[in-house]
This record gives sequence, C-alpha cells and structure tokens, in this order.
Amino acid sequence: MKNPFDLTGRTIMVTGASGGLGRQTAISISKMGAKVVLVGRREERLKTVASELAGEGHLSFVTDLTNRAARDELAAKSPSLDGIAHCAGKTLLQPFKFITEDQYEEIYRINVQAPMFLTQKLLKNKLLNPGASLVFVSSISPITGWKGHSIYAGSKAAIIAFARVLAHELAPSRIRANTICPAMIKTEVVDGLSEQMTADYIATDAARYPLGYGEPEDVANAIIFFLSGASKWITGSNLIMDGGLT
Amino acid sequence: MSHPFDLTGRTILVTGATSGLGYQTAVSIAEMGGRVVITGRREELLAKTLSDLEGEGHIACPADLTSAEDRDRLISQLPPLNGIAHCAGLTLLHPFKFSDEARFQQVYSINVEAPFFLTQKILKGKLLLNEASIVFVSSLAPFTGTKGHSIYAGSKASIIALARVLAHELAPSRIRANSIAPAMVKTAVVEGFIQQVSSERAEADEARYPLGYGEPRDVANAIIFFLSSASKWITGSNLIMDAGLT
Repeated sequence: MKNPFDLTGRTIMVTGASGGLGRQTAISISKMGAKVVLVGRREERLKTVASELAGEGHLSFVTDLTNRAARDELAAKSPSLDGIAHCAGKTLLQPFKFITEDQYEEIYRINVQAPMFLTQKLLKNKLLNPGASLVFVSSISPITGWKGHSIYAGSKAAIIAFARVLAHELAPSRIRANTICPAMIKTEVVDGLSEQMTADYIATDAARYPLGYGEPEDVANAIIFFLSGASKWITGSNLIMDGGLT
Repeated sequence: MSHPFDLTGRTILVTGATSGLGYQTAVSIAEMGGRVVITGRREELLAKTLSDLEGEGHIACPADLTSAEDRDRLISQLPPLNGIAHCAGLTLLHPFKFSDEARFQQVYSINVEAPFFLTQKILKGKLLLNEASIVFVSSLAPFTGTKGHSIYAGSKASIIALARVLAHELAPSRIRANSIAPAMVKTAVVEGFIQQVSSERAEADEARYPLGYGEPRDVANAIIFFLSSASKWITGSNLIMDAGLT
C-alpha cells in the first residue's frame, strides 16, 4: 500500500535541529523514511539528535545561520534537497516600550534573514529538486497580537508573506512553500518562557486553550503533511494550529 | 509500520460518497486502513464505491441527507464513529440578479442544513467517540467572491463558521472540527462546469492557478490529515488549498 504521507527517498533539511521543535521534526521525518540534513548551532545537541534518528544516511552541519559565511558554506556542502523545514527561530517577550534596535536586529536576523537567504543560496546552487516543499514555522503571534510580541510577531508575519511570494515565484518548478502557525507548544515553555513566566501563569494560560498546549509531535506531523506528496496541490497556504484558541 | 497518519481501527462516515471528492475520500481512507461508512443518494453509485474500497467491514447506507427522515434512518444504522468527512455538497453558478429562493433553499439545504443536523443527531445519539474528528469540505468561494457564487459562497462560509463553533463546543470531549477550502478540483462536477463554459475559458481559468487545478486525491489526503491523530492539536482551523491561486 502506498502511503501518500511517506517520505522515503526524500532528503529534507531541518534547521534549528538542536532545539525542541527542530529535534522532534527531524526525528518524525526520519521515521517517515526521509534522509535528514540536520542544521543547528549546538554541536553536542546536534549529535544527540543525530543518534535519535531512525534509518541511515543522515547528515549534520553545525552552523550558525545568522552568519552569512556559515550559511554560504552550508549551501555549498548540502546535498540536493526535496524539502526544507525551517524550524530555527527565536522568541522574545518584551514590552514594546523597552525593546531595543539590537533586539530587533537579533530576532529578525534569525527569524527572517536566515531562512530567506539560506533558501536563496540553495536555489542559486540548484539544490532544490523540482517538486520540493518548503515549510516555514511561523507562529500564531501575528494573529493574536499578544503583549510583549512587538518584535517577534512581526518577524513571524514576515515569514508568512515570504512563503506566499515564494509559492508564486517557484511554482514553475513545482516547488511549494507553506507556513504553519502554531500557538504555544510545550517545548517553548520548557526551552525559555518558564524563566519569564510563573507556573501559575502558565497553568492559567494553558486553560485558555480548548485542547491545552500543543506537543512538538503535533508541529512535526503538520510539517510532514506539507513536505509529503499528500499536499502536492497546496502552496502559499498557512495552517493555524492552536488547539482551538483563536 | 505504524505512523501518525494511519487510520487503522477508525470508523469514518463519508457523505457524498457516490462521486467526486466523497468517492475519492472514501477510497483513500480505506487505503489508509480506515473502516468507512459511506452514504449518498444514488444507490447504484454507492454500491460501486463500496466495491472499490480496500479492506473489509465497510458499510453503505443510501440516504438523501436533505431529508430529516433519511438522516434518522442513516443514524439508526451507524456504528460509533471516530470521524466524519462531510463531502456532500452542491455547487451553483448563477448571477445574483437571477438567483431565487428555491435555489437558495436547495443549496443551503444540502451544504449547510444537512451537515449541521446530521452532526447534531450523531452527537445526540452518542455515536461520536471521544477524540473523533469532523472535517467539513468548504470551498475557496467565500474568500474569492467569484461571480455567480452569491448563494454557494455563503453556504460554504457558513460551514467554516460551524466548524469553528463546534471546535469550541466539543473540545471537552476532545472532538475536533476543521474545514478545508479547496479551489477548483477536477471532479465530474468540474468537467460539467467546463462543458457549461467554453473549454477555452476553462483553460484560461486553470492557467491562473500556479499549480493548475487539483485532483480529488489532493482533497482526500488533506481530509486524512485532519482525521488522523497527526492533527490532534488542530481544531477550529481552516486550510486553504488552492495551488497558490490566492
């Protein structure tokens, strides 16, 4: 039986693979049969993730995607790709009054510039196969306009718009581009926000979600859908995943 | 190999299963291991769908879902369900000036009333298991406002809104409700539309789609994603599928 969600024979790059969502995405993709190209900054974490992958033939690149030279080197060494899961990103929770231009630049560099120019380099180096699928992990933040997200929300809105433009520009090669907009995933709480939020706050916040906070697997599975042949007609779309919050 | 898109062990009701999207949805769900209960008006076509399904245990229950009696009869035959794919529907292309109340009622009766009260009866009959997933096939029409769709577009907008309300009302049972909004898919209905307009006009229309018109299996695969546990955190969402048209 042919499973349209199967990724056997496909090579997929996963950025942010040393972080929560990227790690789970890489693992889930490998279980669906894909060869994974792991990209992340933290070497030790990346090694651990590589050891957790199912199957063989995966590659790892320790790369800081905000560094242009490092990005170009990655785009030179990468194998031909059937897809990219752009999971690298950074969250910032800071009232608008107190944000600085440095913070702005830091967030836009990793959330917007990095996926944009990495994708461009891979295209220029002809490393995206016809029929490839690009998935950008955006966020529910541009839609909800949460307090403290003035920088982050805009960066995630930019990536939705970027994916829609790519959808049109790359359609002649049948390369697709879509975004997913997850609300709060348990890993983000674990990975950083717990430093800024009390357990009480998190419990109250999670209660606003009809289905509670999401799990990294939920995001990984949506990414698999968009990477696979099951979504071959979907491009320029954006999937909100928020447990019913909005 | 088990994977999150697998539907083994799940029983799914598919409406409109005699042709087009409903037919392909039933076939694809069965291929993914699901047990299907199919319904539709035309008995012979329904029998044909049944004979095309992979696996065992599928049931065909002919019914005209616009008839309350038929709906009740269908419900009396239903096993407990893990999901519903509401594929039954009617397209109408007619200038607003010449629309009439009879047409309005005809379209709303199959596109809105039927899924609305069928779902309600299934819930009242406790035939929808916890963690079930309801998928409504809406349309791109409410978003594009295409000429001639004054009745149709509203009926399809209404079903997106219903899915969002159900998402909230049914979350305590972890029952999910989502909609998909496909643009033009090559079904028999569309072939009919192409004959209705000239084939030149149809070709010009398809050329507006960066990836061309869709195939029924594209819609079926999106429905499988929303029915499966791969989307267990997604509820109240609407997925636009239009090959980059909008």
